[in-house]
Amino acid sequence: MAVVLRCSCTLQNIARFIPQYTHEVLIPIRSYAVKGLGKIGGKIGVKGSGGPKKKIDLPVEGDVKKLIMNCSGLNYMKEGPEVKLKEDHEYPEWLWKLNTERPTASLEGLDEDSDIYWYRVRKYAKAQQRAEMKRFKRFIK
Amino acid sequence: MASKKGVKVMKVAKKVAESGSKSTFLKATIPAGMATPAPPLGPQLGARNINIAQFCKDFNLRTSKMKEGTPLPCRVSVNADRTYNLVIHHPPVTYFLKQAAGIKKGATRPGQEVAGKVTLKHIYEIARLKSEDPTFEGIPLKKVCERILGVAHSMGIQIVETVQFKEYQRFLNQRKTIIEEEEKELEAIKQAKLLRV
Repeated sequence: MAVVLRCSCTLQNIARFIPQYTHEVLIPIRSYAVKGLGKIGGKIGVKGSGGPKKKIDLPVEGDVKKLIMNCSGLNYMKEGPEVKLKEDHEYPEWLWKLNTERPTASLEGLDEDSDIYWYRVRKYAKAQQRAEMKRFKRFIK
Repeated sequence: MASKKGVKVMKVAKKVAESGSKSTFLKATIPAGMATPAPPLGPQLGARNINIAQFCKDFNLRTSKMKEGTPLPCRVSVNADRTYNLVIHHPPVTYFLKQAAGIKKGATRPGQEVAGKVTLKHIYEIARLKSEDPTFEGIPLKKVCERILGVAHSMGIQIVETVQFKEYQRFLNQRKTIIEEEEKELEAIKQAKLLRV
């Protein structure tokens, strides 16, 4: 729980008069690092509970010419030909009109009546909450 | 103190025991031909009362024709009489994208760095294959392509008009050195942590 001490703590009193520091001062509660110790103790005790995953190194096509000519890795069977990329005209028209840019979500240009606008508002509000939680993480038990 | 996964297994086992005929659905990514009774797969199966050895044998048999180690998303549902239905999907989009771009690792900071490049044709081919998955049933190919574009953006893969041979070769070599440096840094951090504890 976040702590807001309404006491006659000197620090708190000073903070009240320094506007830019007011929001920064939350008195941290001293607590024992139970979680950390518990985990370490637990690790020693518990026997190999789902150990570290062994990384499987998968072979990747190294020849750039092959990467360009066909879609490597698409045929994941042991035997069989690589999937070759076809000519431009053999692909549907809508493919070339797809938006390939990395989408940058913003509220500009969106109508307040549309659903997307409010989805985005919610998204930003959540992101903001998350950032605040992160900032005050050490004061929250 | 039980590990997170241990707790999960216990919860599932309890649920199965309590519900009787009802069973819980298992989602797992298993490398082709490499299903083992070891954790994490073993306990997950055991908690649902599936014969682990038989499952592994069955899975490895079904995936014997596939390249070893290819990650395969699997969905297992269990019937009341302890028989299971195993549905194996195509490998994940991230796997296909990495293979198509000729890279082993995605970007650590997607949006700020580029990990690889593919063309729209690659995206189309991947979409064509992935649309066979049960999750994409009834979804038009265009939507599937858009989904894959989203995945590509989230792992730092850029979509270009054409991939030029020499340019891309240079790019891949540069990426190699960058990734080596990043791995060294990570190793150093790991070692530091070990020493501290």
